Amino acid sequence: MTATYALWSTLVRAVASRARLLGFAAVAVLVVVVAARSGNDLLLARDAVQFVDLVGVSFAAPVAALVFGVGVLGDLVDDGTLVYLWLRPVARWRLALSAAVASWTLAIPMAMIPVLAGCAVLGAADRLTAAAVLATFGAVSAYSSLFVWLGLVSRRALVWGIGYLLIVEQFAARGGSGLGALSVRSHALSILAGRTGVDLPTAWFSPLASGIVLAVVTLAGVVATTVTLRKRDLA
Amino acid sequence: MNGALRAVPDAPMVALDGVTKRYRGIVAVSEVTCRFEAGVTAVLGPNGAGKSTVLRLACGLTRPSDGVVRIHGHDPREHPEVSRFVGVVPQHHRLLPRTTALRFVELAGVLAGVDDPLIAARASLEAVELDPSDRRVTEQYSNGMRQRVKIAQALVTGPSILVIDEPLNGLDPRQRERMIDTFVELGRQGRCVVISSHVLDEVERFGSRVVVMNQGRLVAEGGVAAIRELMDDRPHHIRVGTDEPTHLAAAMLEGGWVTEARIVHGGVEVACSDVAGFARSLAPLAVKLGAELTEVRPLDDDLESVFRYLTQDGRPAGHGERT
Repeated sequence: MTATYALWSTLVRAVASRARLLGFAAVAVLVVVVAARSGNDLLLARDAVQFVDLVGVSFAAPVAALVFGVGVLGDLVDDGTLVYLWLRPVARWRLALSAAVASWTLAIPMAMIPVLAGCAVLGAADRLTAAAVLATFGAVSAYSSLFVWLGLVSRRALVWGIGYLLIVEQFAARGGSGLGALSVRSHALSILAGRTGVDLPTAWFSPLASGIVLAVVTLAGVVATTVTLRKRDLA
Repeated sequence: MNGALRAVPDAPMVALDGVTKRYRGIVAVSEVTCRFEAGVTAVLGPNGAGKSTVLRLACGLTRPSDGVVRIHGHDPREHPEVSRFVGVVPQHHRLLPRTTALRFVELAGVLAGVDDPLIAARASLEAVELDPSDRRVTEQYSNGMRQRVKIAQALVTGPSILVIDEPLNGLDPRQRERMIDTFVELGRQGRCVVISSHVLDEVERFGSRVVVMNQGRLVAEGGVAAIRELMDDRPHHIRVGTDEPTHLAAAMLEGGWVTEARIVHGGVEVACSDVAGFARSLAPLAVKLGAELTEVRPLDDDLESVFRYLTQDGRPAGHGERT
């Protein structure tokens, strides 16, 4: 067992509480039910894409990233058990990266399952399904990295995260290409729109540019977590 | 990263030099200078004295606001690799969730680069009398069992420095005996064992050097006996058993060997500043008075009394012998 694998598996186990997993299972079931009931009404491709936007990019992705992201290190900070990982001769970047990957490990499937289930129920085209997977993956990756860092720096990370999603992300995404550049959601929707050819109101950028931005945000989150792990005191 | 860092020759195992720690302007520890070397050292003090902060500083968990902390000559905040020298047992009983004891201890070995972490983890758990094959997650353990798991994870890496906050919390009497023996033996092996405790009779049984903290300051350090010697400006209380308590008390007061005397059943309790002088004068005085001495017993030479004296008014009493 390598140190990185040990860290990753420990963090996954730590954050995968029964309540969280059951919560997301309930969300998946709810989405499938809504999709099944809406299926006959979504005759246009645009409607199906908007359904993916609503369910995946704007809801499941940020919520899954928030729940697992802030918990992966934040829970350990709160209960004082981070010391068992921190006070080891392990590079801080390795711990930060392991935390981000642990968050992705849970958040990506938790966000993908309702999206894919919804696409299946709606009978969405392969092109839409592939675009939904890409957009959701990009959004979860970026959000997770940011929320892992947020969980490390704030004891009220969940509240701050919800505030960020409801206020900053919504406001920035609707703020045109200037403010929209600051919105993870806007970039994820740009990928979805670009790959499906459906024009979405907050998709301001090319899929390639948005993909690069989401990758940079993801990396920035890991770097910020590394720096914080180096500098912070542990109780 | 593992194994790249070596201890600086002749450097103290743990050194705090002029260390101050402030939390949002509140001083938790002020200008503490001390060394922790091989053997058991107990950090004592009342709640809020700064004991836990000193322990956290000593292992690099927290960064000093001022001053310098070194572990084997290295700054633990600049060199996380130095933590391979350190095993920490936190005060709280929480462990990583949804994990068996074996996996938890093995994880510590893996992260520290122990050669065969699984074998080391089994041995470490057996050393604290836990079953390595127990498949229960540690949430199902009692506090005493969790305490032993914490100790096992600290020992599994074979650290030269052990930092243990309230080490005997939650253990039953037999386990306490075993743990005390374990820590004393680790100290004898040349490891630096730093413990904090408010249970003073436990500390006496460690036979340890003592660092006394009060209101964020180091107020005394040394052996228990050495610290007691610092009390020269305070009266020592001694019970003298005799058949002539009234005459003996009067003579001792008149001779200036004691500052207070109180007649009690079967003798007299006295307070004196110069214990050696009192001891030299007592027997001749008893002979002179024709008094029979049945008992001479210090009433306040236990650590509890020393600790109370040192911390009751918060002023530094001075440093004992530097060991």
